[in-house]
This record gives sequence, C-alpha cells and structure tokens, in this order.
Amino acid sequence: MNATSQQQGQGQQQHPNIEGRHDDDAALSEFLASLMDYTPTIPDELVEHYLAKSGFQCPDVRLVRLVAVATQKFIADVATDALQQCKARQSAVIKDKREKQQKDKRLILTMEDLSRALHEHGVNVKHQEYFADSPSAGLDPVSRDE
Amino acid sequence: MTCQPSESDFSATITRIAVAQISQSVGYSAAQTSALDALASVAARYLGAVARYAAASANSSGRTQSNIFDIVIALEELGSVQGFLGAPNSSSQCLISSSILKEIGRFLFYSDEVPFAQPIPRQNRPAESRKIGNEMGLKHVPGWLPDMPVVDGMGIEKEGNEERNIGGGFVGEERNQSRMAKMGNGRGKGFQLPEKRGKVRFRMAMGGGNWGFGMERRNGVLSRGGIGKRILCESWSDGDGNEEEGNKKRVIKRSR
Repeated sequence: MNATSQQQGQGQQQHPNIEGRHDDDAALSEFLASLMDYTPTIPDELVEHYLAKSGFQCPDVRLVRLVAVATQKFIADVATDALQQCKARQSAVIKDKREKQQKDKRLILTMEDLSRALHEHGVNVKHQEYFADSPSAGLDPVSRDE
Repeated sequence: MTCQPSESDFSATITRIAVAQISQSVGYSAAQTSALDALASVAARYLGAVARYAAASANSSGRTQSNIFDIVIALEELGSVQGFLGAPNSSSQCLISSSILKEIGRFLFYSDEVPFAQPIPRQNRPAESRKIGNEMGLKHVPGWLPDMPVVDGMGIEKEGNEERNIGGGFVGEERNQSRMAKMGNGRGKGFQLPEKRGKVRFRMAMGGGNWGFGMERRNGVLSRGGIGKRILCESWSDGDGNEEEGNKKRVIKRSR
C-alpha cells in the first residue's frame, strides 16, 4: 500500500488529518481484501501472462486480481449491451406469443449485436455482411444476361 | 511428428473459454464462433492495454513496478471512451473515492462468482534447467541472454521432440556432448562430420584433379565445374576425412 498524498480540505467530509487518511487507507485495504475473496472468471495465470507480455511488473496478487475483475466487468458490460440489442430486436418482431417465448430461450451472441455494442465502447469491428458465390449473384436477370 | 500448439494459441483458447463463460453468466445461451473470437480478441487487447498504460504511468513516475494508482489511471484512460460516473482520480483525494473503484466494487457486490471452468497447469521453469554463463565455456556471453541452442550433428538444433535442419544437411547420429563442447569456435555451434558421407567431386581451376590423401593444405580459389562458383577454402584434413578439432574454418567435403 502506498501512502496517499496529503489530503486537502476541499472535497472531504472528514477532517483532513492523519486519522482520516488511515481510515481511507483501511477502506482501500478492505476493498482489496474483498477482491481476493472473489474469484474472477479470467484465471490469474492468463492475466499474468498478458501483463508480463506488456511490461507490467507487480508482485502484488491483489493488483492482478483487480485487473482481472476490471476486464471481466468490461466484457460483461459489452455482453450486456449486446444482449439488450438482441432482446430489442426480438421484441420488435411482432409475432404470436408462443414463437416469442421459444426464441427467448435461445439468445445467441451474433456479430451484428457485438459490433454495435463494441462501437459504443470505442472498438470498431467490421464483419462481412454476406458472401456471394459468383460475381453475378443477386443481380437483375437483365444485367446478368449482358 | 506432432506439431505442438504455439503459446499464443494456448492463451487465445483460454481467453475464449473465459469470455464464453462471462457471456453465459450475462444471459447468453449460445454464441457465433466469429463473434466469440472477436470478443476474446478484444478481451486480450483490453488486458494488454491496461498493462501498457499502467506500466507507462509507472515509468513516467520514475518507477519500474506499477501500483494501484497506475492501474486506476490506466482504467480511467480506457474508460474515457464511454465515460464513467463520477470524477476521475485526482491526487488530492484518496483513492477509495475514485469512481472507477466504486464501480468495480459495485460489480463485485452484485455479480455472482463464476470461476474458470478448468484448472490451468502452471508453467514453472526450474532454475537448474537454465544454463548460466553457457556450458560451452563462452564466458564472454552475458548471463542474462538466453541459452545458446544445442546443436547436434550436422547443424541440427535439438528442441524437445522436434529436430529442424539448419542450413541444409541430413540427420546424423547422436554425438557426444563433451566433444562438441571442445569444438567451441565462438559461434556456439559445433559442426561434426558424420562417419558416412556421400561422395562429392570438386573440380579445381588451378592444379586440377582431386585432393589426395594425407595432410595437405589447400589454399586458393576453387571453381566448381559449370557453376562458376568460387569458394575460398582453407582446411586441414587427414586421411579419413575427419577434421581436426579446432582448426577448421569451413566444412569441405572431399572426394573418394
């Protein structure tokens, strides 16, 4: 734990003395300890591999967990946005109730929803709309004859 | 010969499994392969980006090891695209009031734990397997460089189960390691002539004829017939063609 810088009076409800700093430090240590209780979905070894690959050096396991949890939160946010897109599209299609319930059980992560969700987070993902088997596929019969 | 998957495939596969589990916990029951691959790639890049920004902020503060402040700065930089609730971390406030950490705390509180599906074997390289200072006696090589590759036979680098030929040649028999150590000519590779070699004929422009037996030294310019290649060769060779250790400069195949 690094010592925080000197606290100013503004923005703090507690009076700016050493005891207040210790309280905040204790709260931070508690937060980091709660991190260790949580097992992130991204395993620690994988996170350590990517951190070491990019030059991040830290012997503290709690910070590794913090990065893992932050990444998990980011991916969960993206997935949630994509899920909302998927559900919005399903509700827009007006069919009778039986079909809609059947569709709700199979929510599939598609490239289209993902690219829209990632676009909001600043990642631009482009994907092929479709693949044609010949250059004249889909053209009018008139132009194809020419 | 089975080709082993590369290290990047391993980490990419694990990332894909983890991302699939995360999306399942969010509510998805299936995913397109291409979408899952894209999201896994994004996750890997996000991890790399956090690490890079944290390392950069540590370096700009004159440190080599990153601490929690660096991580928070990195997360804020990456989160600035979409925006986050609350004010960014400023040096006058304590870190616990940083909104990024608060959001993470909220995420921890409200989301269920989904541990990773399978155990991952930890790769711990034992310290004794690393050659420090080079067993070949190359003391001038700094110790922090990786080990010199162990070359066996005609330029073949032994690496686990794979044997690759370097610069052509054929698979020779296994040689004694100590003999190779003596040959050290500074390049770290030992060339050894196998006992059975094919016949090669050379045509010399000057003097003509083939090399005879016995201890002789040829110094000059050879030209192989028809090709027009010129090779400068200096070599000592004794009768049966075995090169004397430590004296040879180039591998010359003799005829007959």
